[in-house]
Amino acid sequence: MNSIIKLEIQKKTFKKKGFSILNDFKLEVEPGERLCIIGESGVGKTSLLNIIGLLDTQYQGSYKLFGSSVKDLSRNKLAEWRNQKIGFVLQESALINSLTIEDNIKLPLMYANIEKDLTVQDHFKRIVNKIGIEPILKKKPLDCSGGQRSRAAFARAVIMNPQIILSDEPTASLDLENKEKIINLLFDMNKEFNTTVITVTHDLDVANRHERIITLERNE
Amino acid sequence: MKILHFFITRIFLKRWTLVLGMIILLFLANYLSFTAARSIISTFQGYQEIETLNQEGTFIANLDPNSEADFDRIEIDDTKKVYEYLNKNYTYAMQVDGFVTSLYNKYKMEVSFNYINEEAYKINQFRLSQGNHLNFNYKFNKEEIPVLVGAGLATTYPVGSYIEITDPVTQQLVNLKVQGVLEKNTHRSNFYAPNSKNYFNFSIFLPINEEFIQSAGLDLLVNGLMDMVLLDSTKEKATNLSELIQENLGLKFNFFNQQENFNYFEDSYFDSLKIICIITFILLLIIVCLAIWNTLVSIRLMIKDFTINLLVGLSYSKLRAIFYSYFGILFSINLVILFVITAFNRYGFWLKKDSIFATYGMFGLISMDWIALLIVLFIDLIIGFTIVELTIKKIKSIPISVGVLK
Amino acid sequence: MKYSLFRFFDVFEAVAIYLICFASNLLCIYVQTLNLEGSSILKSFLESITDYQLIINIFLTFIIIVFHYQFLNRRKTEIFCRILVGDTMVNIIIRYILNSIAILVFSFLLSLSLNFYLGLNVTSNLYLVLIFIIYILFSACQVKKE
Repeated sequence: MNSIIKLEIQKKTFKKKGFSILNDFKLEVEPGERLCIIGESGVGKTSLLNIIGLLDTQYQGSYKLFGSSVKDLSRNKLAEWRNQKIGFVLQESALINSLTIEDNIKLPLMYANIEKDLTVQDHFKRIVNKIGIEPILKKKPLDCSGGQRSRAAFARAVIMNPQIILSDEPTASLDLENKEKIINLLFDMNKEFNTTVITVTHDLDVANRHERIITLERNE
Repeated sequence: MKILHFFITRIFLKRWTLVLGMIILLFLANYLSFTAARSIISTFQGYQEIETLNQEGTFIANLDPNSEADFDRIEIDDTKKVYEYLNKNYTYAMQVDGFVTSLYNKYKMEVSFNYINEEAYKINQFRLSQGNHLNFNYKFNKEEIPVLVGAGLATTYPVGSYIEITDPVTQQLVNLKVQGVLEKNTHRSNFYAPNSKNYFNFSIFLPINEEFIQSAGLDLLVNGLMDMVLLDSTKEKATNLSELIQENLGLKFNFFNQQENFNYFEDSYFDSLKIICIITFILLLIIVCLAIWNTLVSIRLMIKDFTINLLVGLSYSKLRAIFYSYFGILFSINLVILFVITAFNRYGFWLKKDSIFATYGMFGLISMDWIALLIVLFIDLIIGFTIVELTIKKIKSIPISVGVLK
Repeated sequence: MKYSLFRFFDVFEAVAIYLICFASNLLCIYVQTLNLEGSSILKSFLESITDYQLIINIFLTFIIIVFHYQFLNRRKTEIFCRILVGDTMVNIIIRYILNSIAILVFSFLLSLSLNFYLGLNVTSNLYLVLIFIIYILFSACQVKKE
């Protein structure tokens, strides 16, 4: 099978802080794979996720995503791929507090210019139903609970049916019930649409439910 | 103190743009209140001086603004006729200054001659720091003229010393004997602009009597009429004089009595002062609103820092004390800036050798500056109280749990 | 509006501050055209303000720097979110500059009504517009994500 992610990092340097991480790191990910990245704090888990998610292109090495070299892609193309092929679920939800939950979820649709599309409207309703956040659609993020915000962030991540979902500590601040909900939603997407799921977590219980676990270690 | 230091260095100064914005706004508020306060104080000081003249039977001369004055056509003989008439029929106070001459002195300032008659001298009751008061019964051209000198000339020309100089009014070589030294910052306010003052630190007060007037040139005589004050007179006598001046010199003079002067002050100066107060109040209100906005913006950005500190044991009363101290520091910085600017302005008159405005004072500031600074301090207290209390109210309205998460 | 970082309240705040700056400049110019010969006290008071007109106005314009500073600080999360879902930093910065200039132009046009009312030259506030454009360009360098 062809890998959708083929990453070879020689090193990622933080010049100001004066150290490097992910030295001679290699990673290949198959479509539909459920991969978990674990490791102690500061080893570069989130940095790795930023590189995979096209948020960071400042590193030494090569990265092929869907067969294309990321370094050859323009900024606009990177943005388009983040919009259409990658979904992010982050620990702190990263919602815009001044917009309603509905507007937050529809933000990727706006950038894809398909906000008014009828089929997209149906898709939006389906997702919202499935995740169970209709009652809070008109609310602002600060008026919602932590669990509701996490689910809203999840809805935003999957609204474009991405091929890859990147989640960074998606359950860190959630209770058991909400944690289950989010993990189930992630894996449902994986089953239903063969979406690749890459999760960074400290929670071994969550990690064990993935097909593959890789452990990042500190560089000597 | 340790907590205050922590808040200032680690929280407030981390967002120095907001601190600088606040300092600028508070400086504008301070400058505005200082300027307004000084204008008002200076006007009242001037008014108090004029009030000593403003008594029953007193008439203050004023050249009619609509009078078409042609000074070139005025003859000295006609002017002397007016003064002869004045000397015979009236008691009048006359003081003329602004006759600038070069006279060596320690500060290399230009010296101005101030001619004053006995009545004007009695009314003004100038205080001396050394020596004796003027006597007016000297013989002009036959004996030395007793003079008073300003405080700035006292070291070069101490009491008992002589000054030989060509008098700018009579153009004759005169021998002046320093009889006394005026107190520092002796000044005179303009009758019709009480906020503007001439300081006599570099002046020579020369007594004038009838003999002197007979020898004086046209400049002194015509200028003498401009601010002349008739004492123990009547409206009728004042009108007669006005007519005589018009007939001889072609100048239309009005002589205003106590009530007219009082009404003029009411109409003109009080209105001006009211307008100054209203303008200052409106501008202060706008600046304070901007300062409050700046504070609320700061709270929005720093709420996490505040609430985390509240979470770990800082009380609201301590937070209030921190804010009062912080604003105290900001106000102190502004007051120091204001003080430096004012002192530099005052010192500027010395640098420019502007002898009429050069003043003595503690750190270069004169009494009205200190009073204005006190008023500014009082206004700062009100502004500080308003801002801090609003800030604390705003912080209290945000639950600690929400603030920490922001 | 949804593409923009500015919400209605931000626009309102910015317009209000711009108008305060424009109005203060115009009033300073206007009082200099008044004939205050009859009121020396008022004249000298106003002169003590108008003599420092440029400094006072530039000091006041600093509030716009404060506005942009706090605005961009509050929008860091939003900028990050937008990049997450498919926006680019360059596009965000361009939109920020264009929106800021649009608000500035709107405020300037609004201030022209005061120009006409006071009978002052329409170019009186142009130097402030230039200063504000410099501030906007300078603040555009501060557009950062969390």
